[in-house]
Amino acid sequence: MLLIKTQSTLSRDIEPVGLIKAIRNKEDSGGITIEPIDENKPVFVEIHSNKNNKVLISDVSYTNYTATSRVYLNLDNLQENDEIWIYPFWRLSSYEQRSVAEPHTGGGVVYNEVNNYSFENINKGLIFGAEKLEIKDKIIFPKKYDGIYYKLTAHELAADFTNFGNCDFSTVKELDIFSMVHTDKLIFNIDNLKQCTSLNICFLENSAGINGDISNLSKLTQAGKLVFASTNISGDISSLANLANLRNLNVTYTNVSGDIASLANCTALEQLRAGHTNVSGDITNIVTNLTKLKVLNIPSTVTITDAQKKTLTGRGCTLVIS
Amino acid sequence: MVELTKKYPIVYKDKDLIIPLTKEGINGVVYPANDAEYAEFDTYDEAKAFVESKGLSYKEPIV
Repeated sequence: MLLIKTQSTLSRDIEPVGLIKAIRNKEDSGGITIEPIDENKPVFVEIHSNKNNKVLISDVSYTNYTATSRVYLNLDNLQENDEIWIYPFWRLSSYEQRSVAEPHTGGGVVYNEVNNYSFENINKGLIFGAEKLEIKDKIIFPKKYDGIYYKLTAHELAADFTNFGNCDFSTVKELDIFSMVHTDKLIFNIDNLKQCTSLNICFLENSAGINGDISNLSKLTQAGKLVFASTNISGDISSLANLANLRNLNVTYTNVSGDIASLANCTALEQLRAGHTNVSGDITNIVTNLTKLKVLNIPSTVTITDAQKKTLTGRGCTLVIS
Repeated sequence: MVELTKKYPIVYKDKDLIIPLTKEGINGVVYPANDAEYAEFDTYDEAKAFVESKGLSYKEPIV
């Protein structure tokens, strides 16, 4: 039996049924057609299988922005017991700005070009995810989206000039993922994230233009992964002491300082990387409390004994002193 | 207790690198977990060849 499920990648608050009107069999071909609930607001979907979690088909009729957008899924290549997950979301639904957000749907890779774009015209939540993302000037999050869930991801930023310096995150309180990689020219101050109290993952690295004080993240109690390696962030690492859900922290090659022992209550930590920083202190309480650690990277300014090294490696933790 | 002191240490479990291999290498000491396999090299090319020969990769999920 083929299972077809729907789930919004957007939000706990935005139900997929609010986006999709019908998932029905296409009688003449064995596939299905997905229609948005509002014919004037096309829905973009990603379709994943339970096998590799990759987009199977996303064949969107996007040629006319005023017409209903339909998604046709050909089921010919699927087998019994396969599961299909359909992720619907609004995407940059300012219809008149077709050149700004024209999804490429042929290969399952979405490419967005966003140039000096404001989301003022979007009426409901959005997902801002892309394999490649180009931001040439600025992004503005209007206040009316206060409380709406955002996901900002890009696996590769294509721009020569990528500037989040003008990005106003002050009203974005439900940002879940902020993930930018290969971003050596990204400009961003992490102070902008201090209101994003539901942030789960922040992945920003390898850019001198990423700066700010890590103490602004002290209230991000949902944070599970914070990666700021090789950036210009600074501040006292002890400001993260209350992030009880933190599993992965990477501040290597930054200006972060403070006492590493202050993280001894972050018992969810599996990877703690703080090499090539100004962090110091005694490792004793880290060794005692952080029993889930698989990777510990510390600067030579942190005090550690041979017995503690043996304890760590003996329970499956690789230790790097750099 | 094993100490890896060369610039390009490789620590891995199954096919997964525990620490990423970068051209910058590691200027320090690595103590592999007891349940990990390891090797170390003086040059990036040697380390890279080893990683490729073993089919190793570093997987850090983006999200």
